[in-house]
Amino acid sequence: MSTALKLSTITHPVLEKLVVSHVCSGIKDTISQLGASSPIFKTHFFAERWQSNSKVTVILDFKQAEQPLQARMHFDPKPIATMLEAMLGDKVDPNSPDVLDGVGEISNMIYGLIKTKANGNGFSFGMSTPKAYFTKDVPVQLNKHQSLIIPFTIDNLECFFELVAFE
Amino acid sequence: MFSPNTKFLVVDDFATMRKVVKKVLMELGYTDIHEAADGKLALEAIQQAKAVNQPFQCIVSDWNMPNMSGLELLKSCKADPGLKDTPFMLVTAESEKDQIIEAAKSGVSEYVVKPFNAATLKEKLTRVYTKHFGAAKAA
Repeated sequence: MSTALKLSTITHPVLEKLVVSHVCSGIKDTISQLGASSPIFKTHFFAERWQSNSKVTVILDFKQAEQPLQARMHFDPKPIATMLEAMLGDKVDPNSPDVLDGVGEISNMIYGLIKTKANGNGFSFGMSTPKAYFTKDVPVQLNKHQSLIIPFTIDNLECFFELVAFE
Repeated sequence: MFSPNTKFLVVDDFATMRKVVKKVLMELGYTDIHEAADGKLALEAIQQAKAVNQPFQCIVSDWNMPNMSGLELLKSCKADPGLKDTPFMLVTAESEKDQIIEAAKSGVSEYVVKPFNAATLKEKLTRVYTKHFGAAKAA
């Protein structure tokens, strides 16, 4: 059996189509409210030891029932700067450390909405405090894990939502 | 509505959100706005302000923070006879029914879901004021 098959909904009920739908809806609704262009979603996929090539990453640890999970949001900093400019009314440099603080808050809003949507449909996602990193500084995850990855673009810039399930 | 010289405390672990709330409050005409980066630091600031007889008159706090959450901060304020009547607004990214009920049971004045705009915050502040000080003064 291939590794990808282990990620099927049989072994990880959390990785169901319903979750993908809640994630896409949570991202779309939040980003639209924050003044950025509507995200365009691509087909999701499963992978093991997947690495994002995005510049900033936010990690939220949480549990669904007793299953430890991680939501990782990988962004290009430009659309984040656009959203921060709309929120703050000031110019934001996409390469400044302010983007890290802002992307943490934006991811908190996205995850909060995903959690609200999913928990209204039989899931029990927990909440955690988001940690924002430049992707090159993300701690290496040594525990065996598998990921569901939902790629999307904002203004043609590539971003990803990654749901990580630990074994 | 709160008078322009109302002393506010804005609590959030993200500087971005503190700036957003502060910006909206300033747009509404408030200038005496203080900040704290988590519930624990906020509680210290609240107790110090009370000790020197210059208490905060309205607290706007995030829910999900390290060290001490907004809900824990709210409960600490409600447990202190000298702070229990301070208007307290929780700002959160989550809007689940159970959470709203928990916040209401703990005595929150209002609950604001992020992201929000200036109009929403103004409307919530008016409701907080009415709840604490009565409709006549709010008009």
